[in-house]
Amino acid sequence: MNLRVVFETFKIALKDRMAYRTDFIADVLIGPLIFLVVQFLWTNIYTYNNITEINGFTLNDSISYLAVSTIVGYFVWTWVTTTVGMKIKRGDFARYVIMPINFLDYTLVELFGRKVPSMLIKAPLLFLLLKIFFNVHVADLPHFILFIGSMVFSYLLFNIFMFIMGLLTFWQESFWVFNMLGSAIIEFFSGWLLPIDFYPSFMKPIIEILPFRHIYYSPIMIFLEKYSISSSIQVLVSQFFSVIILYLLARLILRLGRAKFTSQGG
Amino acid sequence: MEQPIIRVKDLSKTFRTHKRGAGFINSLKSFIKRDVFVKKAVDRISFDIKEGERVALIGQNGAGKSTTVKMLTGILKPTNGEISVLNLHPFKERTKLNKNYGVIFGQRHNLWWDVPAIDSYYLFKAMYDIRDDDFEKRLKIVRSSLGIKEYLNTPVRKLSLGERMRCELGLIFMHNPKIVFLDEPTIGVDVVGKKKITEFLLRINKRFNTTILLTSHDMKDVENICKRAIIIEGGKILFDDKIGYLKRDYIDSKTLHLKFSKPLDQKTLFGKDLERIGTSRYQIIFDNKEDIGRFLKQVLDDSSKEVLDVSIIEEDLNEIIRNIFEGKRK
Repeated sequence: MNLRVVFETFKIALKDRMAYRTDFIADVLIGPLIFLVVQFLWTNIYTYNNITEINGFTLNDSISYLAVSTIVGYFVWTWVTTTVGMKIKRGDFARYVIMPINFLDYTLVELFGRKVPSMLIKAPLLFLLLKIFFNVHVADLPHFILFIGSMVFSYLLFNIFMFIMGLLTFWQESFWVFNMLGSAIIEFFSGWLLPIDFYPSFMKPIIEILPFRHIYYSPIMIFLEKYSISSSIQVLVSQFFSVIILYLLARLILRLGRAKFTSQGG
Repeated sequence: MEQPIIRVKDLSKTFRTHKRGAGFINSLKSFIKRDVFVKKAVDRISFDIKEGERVALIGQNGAGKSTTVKMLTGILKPTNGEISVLNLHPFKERTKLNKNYGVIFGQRHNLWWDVPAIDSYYLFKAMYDIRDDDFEKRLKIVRSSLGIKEYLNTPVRKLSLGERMRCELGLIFMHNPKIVFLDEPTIGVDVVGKKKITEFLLRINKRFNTTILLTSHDMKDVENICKRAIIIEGGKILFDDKIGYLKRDYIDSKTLHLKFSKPLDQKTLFGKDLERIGTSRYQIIFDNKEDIGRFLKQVLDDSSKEVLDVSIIEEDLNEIIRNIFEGKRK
């Protein structure tokens, strides 16, 4: 897709997203709820056991991890599986076949356009609140820049993987199952609520092979300055290659799935 | 000799579907063991379409019209047979082909729902790589021909069906496609909207020699827009020729209405049965082979009767098509 198409798709998706203000406000208010619940849990674990550190994480580290995880969630999380699944199941996928675009690229840009309000308004707003009330750790400038770069790859990894889950609707129409399955895989293997350092040691080699840790764990660790600058750059390179592999896989599955498309509904 | 731009030979499409019984027990059964049945949606059809032709695909619901259009646009992969549009295979060479055609599915929309239609036009401009001057020129044409100037800046969700359809139609002409596939483009559109759409399509066809393949259940639209009809039933082609021939071949009777200055006291007229339909108005049914002209001359020459009004009523296309589908005709 050329840059003009990317720009126009991005622009129209952004405008489309801004059409419903109530949705947007509700979204801002719902986001921090999980954070508050898990934060209570952490505070209780540390104070009840009278401990200052678990696996190298202080209470402030753990709460900061959770806070940054909420911010990363705002950046990466979309309804891509159900959007793609629904388009395939109801036949709207046909609309994308007749246009001179690639469905995967178009979907990624479209969803990114819809994400921008979250990224530019919700995330900084929430982070400011978390900083004031929970004294969340703030990265220095080099780590912050690397964190932003890492989040772009997180966005791509999350959405390409969940796009693939949506594509499975070509073979089996129950896309809700794929949505749940994909979400469960990411929540479990990405370090969404818990740093991977807390996982049992036998699981760590598996998590190291899979790309999902790069969705939450890696950018959070960069932001918390748990990685040096050179390690952070290595993480970005590893994220880049994971994106390439997943992207090629998604293109292949899309190609195979297209042949299965039945275009229901007129 | 002019080469066809659409070629279809022995084209077939079958779908595999799971049979599912009604009720809880049957649902449970089909969860464990699924009965698969194969449905032949299109069955070895063949036709060619030349550049600039205006062709209607006519058929009942489920006859295979939309499936054919979806194969021609690369949406569906044909099961068997040959298919070529502008010398390209629509499914295999989709990205090369789809800048050259425009498609409307009356049941779906290309316009973004929550933003003004003009935003979708600009997105298409980028997608189809339309030059600024070409874009402005065509925008001017579609704006005036389709009467959509005031709708383009309104969010699409706030437009009526007819207004939206006109905006959709304008959109697919922005990249000056060589072929347009229109699947039920006038569904739910009022008479004024339909007239605008018809005039626009004829104008575009004349000016740019755009090939039009239309599927519609509205025979008035078919007659107004197309010259040729392909009738599909059960996935097979029943008829493929000029719409005029359809009338010639499938109409087997005509009705003559005559109004006289006073009522007649007879049951027949020059050997034909008279059926009274008003005080001094009668109808006479003629077989297609009978010469109405000669009969009419005899009546007009008869000085004992004064004829005030004459009209000949032909079956309309709707009637002909219905009879074909109901198996009443050859």
